[in-house]
Amino acid sequence: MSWFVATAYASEAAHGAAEAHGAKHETSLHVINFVQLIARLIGGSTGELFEKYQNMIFGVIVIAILGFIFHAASRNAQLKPGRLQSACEAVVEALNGFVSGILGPQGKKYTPFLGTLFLYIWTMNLIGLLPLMKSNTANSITLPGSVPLPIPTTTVALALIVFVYVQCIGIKNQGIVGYLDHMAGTPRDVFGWVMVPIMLPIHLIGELAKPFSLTFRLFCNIMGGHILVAVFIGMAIGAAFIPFQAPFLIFEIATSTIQAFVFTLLSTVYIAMMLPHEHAEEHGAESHTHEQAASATVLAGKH
Amino acid sequence: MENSHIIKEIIVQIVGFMVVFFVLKKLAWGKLMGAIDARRKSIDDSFSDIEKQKKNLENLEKDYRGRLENIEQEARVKIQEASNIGLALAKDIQEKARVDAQKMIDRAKAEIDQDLAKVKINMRNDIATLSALISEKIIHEKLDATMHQKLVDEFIKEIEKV
Repeated sequence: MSWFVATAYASEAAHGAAEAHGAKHETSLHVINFVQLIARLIGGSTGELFEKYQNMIFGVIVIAILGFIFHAASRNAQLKPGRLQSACEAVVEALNGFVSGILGPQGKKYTPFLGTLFLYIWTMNLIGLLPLMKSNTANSITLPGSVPLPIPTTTVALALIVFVYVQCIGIKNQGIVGYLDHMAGTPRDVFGWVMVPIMLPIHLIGELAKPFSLTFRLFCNIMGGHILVAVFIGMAIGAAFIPFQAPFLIFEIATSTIQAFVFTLLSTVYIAMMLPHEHAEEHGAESHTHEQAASATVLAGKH
Repeated sequence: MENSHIIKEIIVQIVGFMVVFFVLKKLAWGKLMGAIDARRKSIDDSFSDIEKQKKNLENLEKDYRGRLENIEQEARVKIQEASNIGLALAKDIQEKARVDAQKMIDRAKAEIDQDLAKVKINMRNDIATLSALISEKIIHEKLDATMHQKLVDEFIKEIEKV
């Protein structure tokens, strides 16, 4: 642990020195990870390459962890499960129940996507809490300019995937005409058609705002938590290595879980809003689903 | 340079997610959900089997109860029948015994009558013979057979009157 703290301190010191020279950095404040450490030990162009592609390395690590766990759990899937299979089944079943609870029985086909989304984000969030590891969800590349703009590549990628997936579901379920009708605010009378020039941009902006909202909510929450931990690690170094960051690590576990959940919840709600609701007898259930979706959106907004 | 790196990284992250998605779709939502569904089906089947067996047992119990009731009734009927048969048999036997006894009595009476008649004849003959002998001795004369028979018959008639 002392090595971890020392490296964190080294990272911050390097960050401070870099800022003093006006140099550009990927993140504003974070603890050092093992790829950066290797890069600094190797040095030269190879070291730079390591540093440059560290996000991909951590992405591969997350994929490997998830792949390994679920491969081990499902390799000999038994009717009477072992501990790992039970744990994985509990997660899978909970996610399935969660998605089906919002989308109804038809939600089962969206569970693999939404469940994977949750597990991927959750693992990425949590892995950053381990010493010498990094959360890709808290990662950003800053674009140079008069106002430096951080681009959180991982959360952007995830939000883009959700955006494209949701639009595809909308077009697939409603048809291209139905989709455009939905985007135009479902005009059925003269007033509706008059409102189309207003409703269409509003819907377009609404749809385009969703990936931005997803991207920055996840990125900012996770990055904020990691900065908090990094600051308290810095304080610990200055206070005879008393681990001040420990309570915040526990807090971060909760935050990581909640943010992964919120991202998944919002994605589920976006899918629910794109699903058709045409049958009269299903109207009650649909309105119930939309009420749930609306309350879920409010809840997610609070987080 | 930075822009192209950002785009490359976003593409790689998208590819990474797709890899995770396909891996988990196969492992987590394929095999594990399959295992869960199989278990659920197995439990459902077990419960339905139990329900079916319970129903079968109830039917069997009902059937056996019915059979027991029938058996008791049948037993009662059979005992009654046996009792009736027994009574009829006893009556038959009694009747037969009575008839047999009556026959035996009749036969005995007939035999007695026959014997009595035979004895009577013998006795008459003996008395006749004896009386002839006595008479011969008394009167010292010999009676012929016809005379002798006539005397005997008269004597017997007198005895019978007495």
